[in-house]
Amino acid sequence: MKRYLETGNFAITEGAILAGCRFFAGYPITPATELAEAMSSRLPQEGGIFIQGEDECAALHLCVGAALGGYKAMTATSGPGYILYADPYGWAIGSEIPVVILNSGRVGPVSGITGAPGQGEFYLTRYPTQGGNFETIVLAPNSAQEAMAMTVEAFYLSERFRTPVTVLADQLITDGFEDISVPESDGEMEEMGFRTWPRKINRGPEFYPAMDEIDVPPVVLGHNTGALCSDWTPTEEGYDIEQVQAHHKHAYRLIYKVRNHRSLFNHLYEKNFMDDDPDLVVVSYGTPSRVVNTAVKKARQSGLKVGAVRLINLWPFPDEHFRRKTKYLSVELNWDGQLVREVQRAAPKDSEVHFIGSCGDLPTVTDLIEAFERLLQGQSLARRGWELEEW
Amino acid sequence: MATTTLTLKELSKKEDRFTHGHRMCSGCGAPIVVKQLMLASDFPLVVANATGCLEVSTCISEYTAWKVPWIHNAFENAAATLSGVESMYRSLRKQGKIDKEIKFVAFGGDGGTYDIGLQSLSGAMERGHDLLYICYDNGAYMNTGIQRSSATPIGADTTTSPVGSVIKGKTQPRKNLTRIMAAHGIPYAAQASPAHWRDAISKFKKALEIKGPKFINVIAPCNRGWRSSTDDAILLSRAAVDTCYWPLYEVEDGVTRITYVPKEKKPVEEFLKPQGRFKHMFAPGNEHLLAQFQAEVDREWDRLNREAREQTPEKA
Repeated sequence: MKRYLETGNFAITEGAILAGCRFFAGYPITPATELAEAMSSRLPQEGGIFIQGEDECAALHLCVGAALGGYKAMTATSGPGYILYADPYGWAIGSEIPVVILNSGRVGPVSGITGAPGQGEFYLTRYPTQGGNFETIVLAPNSAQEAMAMTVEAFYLSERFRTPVTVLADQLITDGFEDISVPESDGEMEEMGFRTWPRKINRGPEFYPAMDEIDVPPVVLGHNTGALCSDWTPTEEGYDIEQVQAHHKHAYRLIYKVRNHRSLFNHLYEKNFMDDDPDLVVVSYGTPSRVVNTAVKKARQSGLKVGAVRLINLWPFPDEHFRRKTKYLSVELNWDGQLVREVQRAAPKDSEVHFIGSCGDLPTVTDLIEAFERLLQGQSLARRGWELEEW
Repeated sequence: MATTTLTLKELSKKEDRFTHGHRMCSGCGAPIVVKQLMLASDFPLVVANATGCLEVSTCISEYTAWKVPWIHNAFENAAATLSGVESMYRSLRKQGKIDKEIKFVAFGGDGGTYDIGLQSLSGAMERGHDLLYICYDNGAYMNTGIQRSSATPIGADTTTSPVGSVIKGKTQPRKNLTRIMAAHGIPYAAQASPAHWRDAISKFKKALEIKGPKFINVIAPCNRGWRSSTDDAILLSRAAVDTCYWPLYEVEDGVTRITYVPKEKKPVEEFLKPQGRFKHMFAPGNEHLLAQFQAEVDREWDRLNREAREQTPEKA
C-alpha cells in the first residue's frame, strides 16, 4: 500500500487504472481537468490510450466506441459537460455498453461557479438522456479515498450490468487534497474491498438476453463475433427494429436487469446512530455528509436523538432506508431541494421531511445542530431562510 | 480603401470601449486584439463571448471591462447566440423599429472556436449572418490550464499532450481554421497579428464594413501557456509572422491576398526558442522535431503563396 497526500482527481485516476481502465477520453472543464491531465500521462505508461475530444459529447462517444472495441473506458467532466453526454449516454444505455463517467459537481445552473461544490445533478444522473425506459446506476463518494473505491466499483458494476455507471462527486472531492492509500497488489485490493470484473467478449448469438440476466458479456466488435450494434431499438439478435413488441422486451431488460439485482450494490450506504430509532434522520450524500456526520455525533453528545443516513448508491434510489415514520432532514448543496423529493416519496405518508440547502458553501456544524434542535422541538426552519418552502 | 488614415495619433483620440482594469494576465495577447478591434470601428457594437480566458477575466463580480452590450454563453455557442441576436436586429430594422446601424462581433479562443464551437461557427457562416467572428488563437485551452486544442502546434508541451520519454508533446499538426472558414465561401476571412497593428486594424475595419459573415483569426501569445516572458507578446506575434508560421493574409470574395510578406523568411527557431513549451525540441537528439515543424510551416506557406498567385485577378 502506498500513501499519498493527493487530490481526488489523482485517487480516481489510480482507481480507474486498478480497475483495468485503459482508455480515457476527456475535455477540459474545471474541476475535472486534472483527471484528464493525469490520465494523459498515466495511461500511456500502462499501455493505455488517452484522447482529448473536441467536446464532451465526442469524449463520451469515443469512450463508448473504445468500449465496443473491448476496452474498459472512462470519461470525466462537470455539470456543463455532463449535459452534453446526453446523446452518447443514451447510446451506451440502449446498446448496453459498459463505460464509467465521473461527474464532479460544481455550482449551477449553466456555467455557474467553477471552483465551488454543488449537487445540482442528482436527478440529471437519474435521467442523463431522453426516452426513459431504463434504470441508471449512480455512486456518490464523500472523500478522495472513497472516490477511488467507487471508481473501481463503478467499473465492476458497469461490466456486470452492461451499462454506464456515473460516479457523482463534487468539486471539493476532486480538487481537495487528502490522505490516499493506493493498493499495490491484488491482495491489498481485496483487503480494501475493491472488486474487479474482467472485460469478457460476447460471442453471441444474442445481442442481449431477453430477461433480467446479468453477467452477460457486452458486445465487442471484431473478434469474429459478427456483432451488430445499432442506436435503434434492437432485436435480441441486434437488428434494428422499430416495433413495439421488440421495444417492450428491450425496455424490460434495461429496467429489470438493474432493479432485480439491487443486492449487488445496495450495501453502499453509511448509517450513524440509527440503531435506536432516532427522532430525526439526517439524509445526505457526498461532501455535505461529512459535516452532517460530525454534527450528528456532536448532537448525540448533547442528548439529541438524531441519526444519519448517508447514501453512496444514489440510483436506483434505496427506498428501504426511509420505511420508518419519523422526521427526516435532507442536507444538500443546492437551493431547490432534489434528494429531499425522493426522501419524501420513499418515506411513509405524512412523514415530516425537511430540507436545508446551500450551494458553494457547506453548512456549518453549528448551523446543523441548531436546525436539529428546532426540528426536534417542532419548530420550522423557514424563518432561518434555509427552507424555500415547507415540505 | 481599407488602409485609409490609420495613424497612432488619430487612434489615441478614440474612446476606449474595452477598458483597462480587466483581469487578463499581464502580457496577454488577447486584450490587445480586442482593443485593436474596438479602435477599428465607430459603429455601435454588440459583442458575444464564448467561455474562455477573455470572457472570465473581463467580467468579474460586479465589474465589466466592456462598454458595449456583451453576451456570454457557454463554450460552444457564441456564434449561434449572436446569429439569433443578429437575426432579430435585421427583423427589427426591416420593421422600422431600429434605424441605427449596429455591428455584431463574436470573440472566442481557439478551444471554443476550433473545437467545441466549430459546429455553431460553421452554421453561422453558412447561413450568412451579418457578423464578424474573431478567434484569438493562443494555441491551447489556457483558461483551464494549458490543455491541447486542435490549434496547438505540433510538438507543443501541454498538460494533456505532455512531453515524456516516448511521446514528445502534441503529435498532430494544427488545424488550419482560416482556410476552413474561407472554404465556406464567405465574403471575408483573414489572419492577423497584434504586432502588425496597422494590418490588423485595417482588416477589422474592412470586415466590419462588409455585409455578411466574416471571420478573422488572430494570434494571441499567452506567456503562461507558451512558457515565455511576460513582455514577449508582441515580439512573439511578430516572430510568428516573420517565420511564416502565422502568415498575414486575407481571402476576400474568394481571392487570396498575402497582406504582408516578410523581407526575409526567418527560421522557425526564432519563434520557438523563446517558448518553454518547445524546450524539448532544442534538446540534443530532437533535431528531427525542429525539422518537422519547419517542414510543416514551409508546406503551408508554399501552399498559401501558390493560392495567392493563382487567384490574383488579372490586371486590366
